[in-house]
Amino acid sequence: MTRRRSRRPPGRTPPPGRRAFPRAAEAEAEHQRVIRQRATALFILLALALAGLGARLVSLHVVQAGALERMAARQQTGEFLIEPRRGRLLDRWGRSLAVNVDAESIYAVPSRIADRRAFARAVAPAMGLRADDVLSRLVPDRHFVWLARKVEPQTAAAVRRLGLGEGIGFLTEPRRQYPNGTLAAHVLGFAGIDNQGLAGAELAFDHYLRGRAGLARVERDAMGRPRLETRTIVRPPVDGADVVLTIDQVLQHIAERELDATLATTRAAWGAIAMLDPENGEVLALAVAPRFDPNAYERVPPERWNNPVLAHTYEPGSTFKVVLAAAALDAGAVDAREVFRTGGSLRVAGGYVIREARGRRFERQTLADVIRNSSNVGAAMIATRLGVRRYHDAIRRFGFGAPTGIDLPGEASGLVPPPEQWRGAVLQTAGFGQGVSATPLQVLVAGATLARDGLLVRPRVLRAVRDPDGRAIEVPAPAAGPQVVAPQTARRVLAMMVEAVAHGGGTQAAIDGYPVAGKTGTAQKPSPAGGYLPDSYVASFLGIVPADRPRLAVLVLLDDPRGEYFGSVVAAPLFRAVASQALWHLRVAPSQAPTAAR
Amino acid sequence: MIAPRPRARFYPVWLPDGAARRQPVVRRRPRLHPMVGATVMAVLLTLPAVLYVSVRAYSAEAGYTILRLQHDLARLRAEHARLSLQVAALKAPQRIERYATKELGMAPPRQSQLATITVGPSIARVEVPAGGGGVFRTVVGWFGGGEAEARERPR
Repeated sequence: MTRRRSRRPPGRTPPPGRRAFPRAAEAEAEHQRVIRQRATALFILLALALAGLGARLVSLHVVQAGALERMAARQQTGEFLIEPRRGRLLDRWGRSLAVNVDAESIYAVPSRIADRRAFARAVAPAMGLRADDVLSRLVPDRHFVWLARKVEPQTAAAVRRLGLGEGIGFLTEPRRQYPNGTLAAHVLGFAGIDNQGLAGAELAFDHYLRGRAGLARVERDAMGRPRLETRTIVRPPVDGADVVLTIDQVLQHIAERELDATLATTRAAWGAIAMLDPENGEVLALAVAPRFDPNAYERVPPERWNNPVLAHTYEPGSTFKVVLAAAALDAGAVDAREVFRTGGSLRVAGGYVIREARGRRFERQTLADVIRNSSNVGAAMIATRLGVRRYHDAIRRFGFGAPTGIDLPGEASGLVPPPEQWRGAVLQTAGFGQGVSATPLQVLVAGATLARDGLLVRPRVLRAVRDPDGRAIEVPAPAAGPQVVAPQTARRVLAMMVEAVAHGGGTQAAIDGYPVAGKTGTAQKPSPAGGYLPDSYVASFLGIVPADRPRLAVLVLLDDPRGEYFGSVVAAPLFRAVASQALWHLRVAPSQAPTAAR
Repeated sequence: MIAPRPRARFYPVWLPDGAARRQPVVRRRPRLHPMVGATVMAVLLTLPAVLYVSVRAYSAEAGYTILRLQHDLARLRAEHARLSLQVAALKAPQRIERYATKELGMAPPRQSQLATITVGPSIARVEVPAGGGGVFRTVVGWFGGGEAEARERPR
């Protein structure tokens, strides 16, 4: 049997046996009504509150979600760039010419320095700075100021020993280093404090060397400090590629050593030696003296950074006669066997008189004699025969008056006046290299063009580009230049240059066992006030060796040597010293039996 | 005051019939002690949390190991770069020359000290004797030798 229970709400009906009082019932009903009202009000309030919260949630999670996420990411995570490693500069055999090492940079946090004056007094001597300089950088409200970038390890250690607490910090950064010091400084150039190329190959090949910065993201703690263990690489850095130059470190050293020695004896203002392979235009050495140390480039005046082989223009003097000879022969204006009655002087338009150097006198000369004797009068007569238009065009075809296109920055064009400006004796003086200006590289390229059977040589210093793993990613092919003169013309001029070294003014350039084709030059320096300086010359020598199968084209130039100043006396021996060692280094076998063995 | 009269409610109950009552009583399985159940439940609830925490701890430890190794790698790279610089500086031709001339008393060779050895055709070109059995050699080259040997023509 089931037991029945009545569900009686408490207070609604009086318990059995108890009498219900109407007044109490009313009071209870009223009480319940009040409770219902309050419950309803409370429910409404709660519902409103919940609705408000819901609306706020929708606002936060839907409407403002994007902005808030960005704000949170900004506050909780940080992004920083990962600097790539700059590529190295290597010589043609892979020897390091410019590398990177880690160096420490020192920064200060001025907002955390109580006594800035005392701080500056403490830290300045350790860094080799003046206390006032340090103090001027400590702007009170700043949180970060550089004190010194990429300092030597001992400097960083000395500053660290000061124990300056939170007011100072250290960062490791890559620093460009040139392990050979001043070697090839004008070719390499230098990179700036932020590892950006500023001069030379560093600037020219910066797009290969600099790489691409990466991006990393890191979470921050409540204090805003990065939690390095949470670092994620968003975009990995791409290290810069290594650039292999055509420079041969040993040849460069030979050229610089011999140039320094000659500069010391001749007391020339400056000198340069440029050496290239005429077959492909690769620059093997490019020496300039005086040099600078690219590790401390800021210690020399900026003028010293210029590479004069590319940027300096001068009147080439007698070395230019080979251009005249090639132009005259190629145009058929002169026959190689034709004899010119040159005499000792020549009166030309405008009343100018052209004379031989050093008071010499040659009565009858062929074109080969003009080259061998370096005859100014003969050159003037041949130039007159050739004429302005044809000579001007030939000069331009050899590349004068325009940059050679070498892959280094700062190249000058030189100056070749247009034909309509060749008034007076310009044509005649241009025959022996006066009245036109050229860079040393342009003169060298002209010589190399003759060595290459008349094909214009495009000089270059970039041999290859390698990725950080050593794989070649770019190997530029030698650019084929136009045919400037016929091959047989080039060979005939080369033969004349061989004669000039064997029996002419360039005897001091002769190298035992190797036929040398060369031409000396002694050019007067123009005066800023017009005319020429009385006792100021540029001595030069343009040589090609071995003449029968050219491997080297070399230009030697000495600016304003004191004492002996003729190219045949100061520049030709320098050529011989450099070229003979270069041939040994390149293992070029002699073409002729050495004199001692004959 | 009028109050609603409580209504009577009936609840139907199924009772076992006689046959069912006569069935033998099946012994109920002993119930686990509540503490055991609570412990098992606690373990079941806690275990994933412990696993999660341990995995996170392991991950963090691995992260720190990776970070340390990255620092080691960076340090070694920096050391390598420094040593490379040192090697390059030590191999600089001007330094070697200075050392050779100043310390070792050496001098650049003179022309008379240099000799050019002309390599004649008898040395430069070594005649390879014509091997017998061209086809046999080629086949053997395919299986037993290298590609170059297989392709090389007997002279």
